[in-house]
Amino acid sequence: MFQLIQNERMKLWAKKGTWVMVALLVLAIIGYGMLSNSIASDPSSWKSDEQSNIAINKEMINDEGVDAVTKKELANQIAISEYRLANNVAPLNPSSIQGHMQTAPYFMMFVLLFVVIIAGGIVSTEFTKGTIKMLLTRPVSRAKILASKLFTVIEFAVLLSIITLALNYVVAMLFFGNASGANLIIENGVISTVNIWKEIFMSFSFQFIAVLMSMIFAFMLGVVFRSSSLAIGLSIFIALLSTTITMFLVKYDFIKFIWFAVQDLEGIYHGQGILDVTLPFALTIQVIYAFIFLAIAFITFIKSDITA
Amino acid sequence: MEPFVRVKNVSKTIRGKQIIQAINFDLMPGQITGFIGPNGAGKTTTIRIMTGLMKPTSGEVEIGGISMQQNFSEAIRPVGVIVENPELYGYLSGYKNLLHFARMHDKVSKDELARIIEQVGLTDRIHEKVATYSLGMRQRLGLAQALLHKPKFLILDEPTNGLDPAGIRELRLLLRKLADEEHVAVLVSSHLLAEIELMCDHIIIIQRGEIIETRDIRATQQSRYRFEIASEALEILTSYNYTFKQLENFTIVDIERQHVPTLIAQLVEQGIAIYRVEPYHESLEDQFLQVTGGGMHVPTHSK
Repeated sequence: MFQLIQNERMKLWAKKGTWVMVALLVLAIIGYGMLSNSIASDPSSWKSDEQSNIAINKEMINDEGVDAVTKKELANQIAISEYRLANNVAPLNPSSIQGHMQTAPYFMMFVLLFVVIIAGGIVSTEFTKGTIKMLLTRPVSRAKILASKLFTVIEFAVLLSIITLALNYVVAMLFFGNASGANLIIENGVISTVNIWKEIFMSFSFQFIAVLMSMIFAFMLGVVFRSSSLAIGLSIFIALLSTTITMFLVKYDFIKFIWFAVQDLEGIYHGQGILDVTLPFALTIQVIYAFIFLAIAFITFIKSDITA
Repeated sequence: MEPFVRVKNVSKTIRGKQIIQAINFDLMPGQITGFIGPNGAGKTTTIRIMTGLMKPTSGEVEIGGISMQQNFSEAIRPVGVIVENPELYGYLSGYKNLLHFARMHDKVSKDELARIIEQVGLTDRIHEKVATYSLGMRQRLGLAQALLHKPKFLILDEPTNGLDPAGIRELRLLLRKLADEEHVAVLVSSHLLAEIELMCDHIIIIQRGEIIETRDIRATQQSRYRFEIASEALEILTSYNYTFKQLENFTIVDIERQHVPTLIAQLVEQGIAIYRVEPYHESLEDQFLQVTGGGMHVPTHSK
C-alpha cells in the first residue's frame, strides 16, 4: 500500500500543474499580505468612528419600515459601541496578527479549487491516457489502487491547508503586530469578548470540511464518468452555486437533506444559515454523503469493465 | 505437459450483443501462440478478459491453476501484459515508469531493472521523459514493463506496431528465447500474418467471436508442387491418380520431390505444354483466408 501511495505521489508531483497550484497559492497569500499592509488604516481614530456609528444606528432605528429583527440588531450594535467607549475597548484592528488571520480561511477557496482539480483528474486521466490498463493488470486489487489515489488527494488537501494556515501566520507576523482591540459579542444582553483564536480555528475547520466534501464529490465523478472536465466542472459549479440553489429550493423540506445545502457550516454555527438546522445535523449529513460518494466510487471502480 | 493457461468456455455479452461465445483454448509453457482474426472478431475482448480488465459473462480463465475470476491478484501475478499500444506516463522518465510498475510487484531489484533496460536497448535514454520517445522506443519500454517481474505468461496485443524491421526481428528472437529458455507461454495477437508465421508455433483463429481453427504451424506440410500447365493436363493427372486442386491459373499437386520428374515425363509424353513447375508452400495468409473465407475485414455480427 505504501508503495502504491509512493507511485501516486511521484505522478502527482511530476506534473508541472501541481507545482503551479502551490506557487499560485503562495503568491496569493503573500500578495494579499503586502496589499493589506499598504492600505492599513489608522486605528487611533476608533473612538470618533464608534461615535458616528452610534449616531447613524440611532437614526436608522427610528426610521419607519424597519422590522423588529433589524431593530434588535441595531440596538445590539449601539450597545456594543457604547460599551467600547465606556470601557475603552477598541475594535479588532484588521492590520494585526489576529485581524489578518481572520481572513486566512478565505484562502481555502483556492485550496478547494486546486484540490478539486487534482481529485477529479487522478482517476480519470488514467482512463483518458489509457494507462489504466497497465495499472490494473498487476497483482494488486482495484480497491487498493483506488484507496492509494484517495489517500494521495487527501494528503494534497492537507498539505495545501497547512500551507495556507502557516504561511498566513508568517505573513501576519512579518507585517503586523499583536492586536490591541477585541471583537465583542452580545448574548442575552451580556457583552463579552470573543476568543479570536478559537474563532479562527473553527472557521478554518469548517472550510476544510467543505474542501474535503468537494474533493470526495469530484473524486467520485472522476471515477464514474472517467472525464476530469465533467468532474471538476460540476464540483466547482456546486461549490459556487450551492447558496443560490438552496435559496431557490428553500421552501421544500427535503433540501436540508442535500449535502451542499447545509455545507455553510460556519453560517450554521453562528446561527446565520439559510436553513434552520443545527451544526451536528449538518455535520451528520456531510458524513453520510461522504460515505455514499466513496461507496459509489469504489463499487464503480471495482466492478466496471475497462475498455479504455 | 500441463497447460499453463486455460480459457474455459468464456463468453462475453456487452449490452445484449454477444462479442465472444464459449471460447476454449489452452496455452502450453514454452510455446508461442498466434491469436489471429479479422478486425472486430473478438481478439481484444478475449485478451481483456484474460488480463482481468473485463469480466466474462460466463466461463473462467485459469492461469497456473488459479482462477482469475476467483483470485485475481494471485492469477495475474505471473502475467506480463501489453494491451494494444503500451500507454505509459509521458510526463515521467522511462526509468520512473518502470519503477512505478516495479513497485506494484513483489520484489524487483535495481540490478534487475538495469538488466531489463539493457535487454530492450533503452539504457542511453532511460532517464528522458517518455513524451520525447518515438513509437518504437515506447514499444520497447512497454516490453520492459511487461518483463520486469519475470512473467511465466506473456500476452502481447499487436506488439510489432511501430517497430522497425530490426526491432521486429529482435522482438522475435527475444520471445523465442523466453519461450525456449524460460518456458514462458506467449500469446501474440496480430493482424500481420507474415509476422505471426515467423514468430509462432501455434495459431488460434477467431472469427465472429468463435474459435474456428487451432493448428500447429510448425507441423510439416504435405509436399506440394505448383504447375502452370495447359488445362488438358487435368484429365491426365486424374488418370494417374494424383491428388490436385486448381488455384487461380495454377494446379497444385500433392507430390513428393522424387516423383516430380516422372510426372513431367508423363505430361510431356502426352504433348502437354508445361510453363512452370515449382515447390509450393502454403503461407499462413493463404491458410487464414481459406479458413475465414475472406479478407481481414469480414463484417462482424450485425445486431
